Amino acid sequence: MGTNRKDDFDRFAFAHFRELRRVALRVCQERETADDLVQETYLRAWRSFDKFERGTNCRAWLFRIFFYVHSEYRRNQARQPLTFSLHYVKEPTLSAQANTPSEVTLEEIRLAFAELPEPFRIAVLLSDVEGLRYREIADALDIPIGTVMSRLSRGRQLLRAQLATLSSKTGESVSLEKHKKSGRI
Amino acid sequence: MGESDCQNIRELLDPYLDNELLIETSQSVLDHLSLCPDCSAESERRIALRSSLKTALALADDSESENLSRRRIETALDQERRRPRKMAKIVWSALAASLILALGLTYWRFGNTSKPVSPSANMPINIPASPSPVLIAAVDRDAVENHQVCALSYPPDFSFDRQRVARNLTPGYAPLVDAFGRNHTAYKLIEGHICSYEKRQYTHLIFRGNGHTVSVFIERDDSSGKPKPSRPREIDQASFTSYQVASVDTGRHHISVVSDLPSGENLALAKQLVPVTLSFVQKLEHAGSESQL
Repeated sequence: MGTNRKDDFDRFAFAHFRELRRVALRVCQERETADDLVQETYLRAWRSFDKFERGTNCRAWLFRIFFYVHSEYRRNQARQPLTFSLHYVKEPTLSAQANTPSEVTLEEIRLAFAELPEPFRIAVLLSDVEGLRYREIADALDIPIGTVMSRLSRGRQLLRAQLATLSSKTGESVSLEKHKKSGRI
Repeated sequence: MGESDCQNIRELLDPYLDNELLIETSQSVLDHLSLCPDCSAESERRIALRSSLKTALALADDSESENLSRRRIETALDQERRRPRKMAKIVWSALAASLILALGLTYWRFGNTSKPVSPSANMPINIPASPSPVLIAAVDRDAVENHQVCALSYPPDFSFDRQRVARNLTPGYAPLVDAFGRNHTAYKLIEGHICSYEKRQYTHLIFRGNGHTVSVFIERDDSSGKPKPSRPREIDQASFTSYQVASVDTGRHHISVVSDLPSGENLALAKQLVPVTLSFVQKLEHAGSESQL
């Protein structure tokens, strides 16, 4: 290591460009901002690449830098900070026991997901869409693993509750199982 | 199978699907699912929902913008790699500080024996026969670094736009473009603006020609708070990494010409560019019509 910093950086860090940009696009929901933040992430990663421990998870390290850059960006934009009240989610709506609705459309899923408070949305995104392990999410977001589990649990319960509400309002829902069998989902 | 069993299993269902449970706990969930059709169906729905979520959030094919973004980041990284690293900066700062201290002590010990040249815009500028000193002052080093960060980031096909440049410069400096004209031997003016680097603020003019980029920086020195007496005016040239920086100081302004040209060529170009700049800056100084720079 260290013989060619650039080659190592390309191999370990730049290899995750596509995943990082995909997450950035979903988190920022705006291409220009996402690209700016990914660029800043890579510049900072390059400057501190000496501190990256080889053999540890480079993807989680990059995500950690990205979410730090993202929260800085949010602060600078004077938008709402990355904190929220847990009272936002009324306890009765959060039940692990409740059945997942079986008749939902992709649009309803998109809407329900977009409605999630950001910390829950990011946890669900990293786990269910990007397939990160709990440990990786904890490293990426710089939070304890217990907080990851709690955010995931609440995020998923809220998503299900939101979907149940949405699907009961529309008559055009399609069976999840049917989608799956037809190859659409 | 009791209701509380189902409640417990549903709490564990997501971590089970994430494969994050201990083996024993995972086995107990599996055992329950094999016996409970309701929980088994719920498990299937949750799996289907995850799959649907991936589909719902799938991004449209944007390989074109992805490639653009990738290239942009690679370019930014290349520029970053060309910048001197922080440690190198610290070492250079320490060396510069030592040199200044050594020069100060020598001056204090032996006094100044050189004869000052009285300042006049029309007087020929004294170009030293050989480039002086090995170590570079912080002000010139910052000019070189700003050249790397700013001037070299302009794409090869970047073209001059008089209105844009006039807008970018402070009103007092806008006529400098006309004072220069667009062409200087093989070099053409492509851009002029105000930029900051390391807490310094520069009026920055960028020239291109023969595959080289040349920066002219004008920095106003207000550190004393009062106008300083003009000092002997010479063009000093020094090297920093692979760049040459030729500079002259009026006492209130520091003018630098930075490029990666060979030493003699940079000095010759500076000999053309500096008098124009100097004359312009002196008029501003005398008229007292400078704005911020």
